[in-house]
Amino acid sequence: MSIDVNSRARFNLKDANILLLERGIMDMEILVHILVGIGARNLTKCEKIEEAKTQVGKVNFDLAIVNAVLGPEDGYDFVSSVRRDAPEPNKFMPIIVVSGHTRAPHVVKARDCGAHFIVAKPLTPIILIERIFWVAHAGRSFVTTDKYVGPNRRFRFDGPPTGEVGRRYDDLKEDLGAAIEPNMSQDQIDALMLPRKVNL
Amino acid sequence: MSAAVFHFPEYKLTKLLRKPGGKTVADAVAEAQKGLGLLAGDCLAEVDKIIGELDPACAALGASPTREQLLALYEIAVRLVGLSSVAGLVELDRVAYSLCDLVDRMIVSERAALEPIMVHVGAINLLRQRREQLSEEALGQIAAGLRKVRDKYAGGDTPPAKDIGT
Repeated sequence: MSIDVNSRARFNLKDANILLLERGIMDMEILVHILVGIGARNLTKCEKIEEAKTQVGKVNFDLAIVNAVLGPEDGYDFVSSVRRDAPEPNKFMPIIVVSGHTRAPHVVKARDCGAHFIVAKPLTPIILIERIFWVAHAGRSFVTTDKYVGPNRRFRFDGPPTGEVGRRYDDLKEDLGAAIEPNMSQDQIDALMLPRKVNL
Repeated sequence: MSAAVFHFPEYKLTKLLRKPGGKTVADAVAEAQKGLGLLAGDCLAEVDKIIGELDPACAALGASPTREQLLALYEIAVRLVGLSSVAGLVELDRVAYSLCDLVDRMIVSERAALEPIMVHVGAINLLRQRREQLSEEALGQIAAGLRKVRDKYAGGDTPPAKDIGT
């Protein structure tokens, strides 16, 4: 989703409770300045995972923005713990992870932590607005399995990746059977779309 | 094969974003940029501080860098990513990212070479101290050269590569 920086469309972040988990003072300042600039007011700032976990247990958040690397600690682990252990509604809250660079051994962890979006730094106001809109409007369901808890990554219903056997019991086989009826004519298709009077 | 349980949560954020009032996208972006502009000086000072940590970390590497030394170097370099752009040093941001990529590949492959690291750190110092004197063409050449260095290393055909000490 791409938004024009000159768009006159309005949005309101004034009443949103936002949790920020960032490590350095300057990184936190950058995040705060962007969020305040785009209209956010209720920001809860945490520098440590334990601090953030305590807040998640006490306050209902509408959005969390988490740095992937928090010194020796790991933002992905925090996201996983929220998805597994946090009380509702925080368990399902939109979470955006920001990352300067993702180390090769962490790519799978990043994919599977349960975040809605992973945004690469440098962070810009328009990118953050786009991602916030996206997580708020995408209407993704949440999925809980033994190995993954988080937003449904198959939100386009494309089925399992091509050439791979599905991991879920309800995944359909890739091979389609032969058609058992002739194709519909254009008139038949048009008839399906036509508005009709009904008696209510 | 695991059974998946689906939930359909309603996000309060969706409703909040639609509440009357708020800001237009154009105004929000302009105000946020203005705020970031106020931070540029502090970010520049922080970039200098981080570069000040980077130089001794590189000097300590020696001919056969250990995994711990490389991890320490990575932790310093990754702090430059994002911060440098707000300080107005966009190219430095990219070089810092490239250095992170390079060091990460060295850690993963357990083979390290000092030279490509020094080239990157040299470029970071150059972009910090003499950015205004560099033409767009020179910046392009620096970026292309570093990409070549990084990709050559990633391809595993760097002759002077040394095993990481343990």
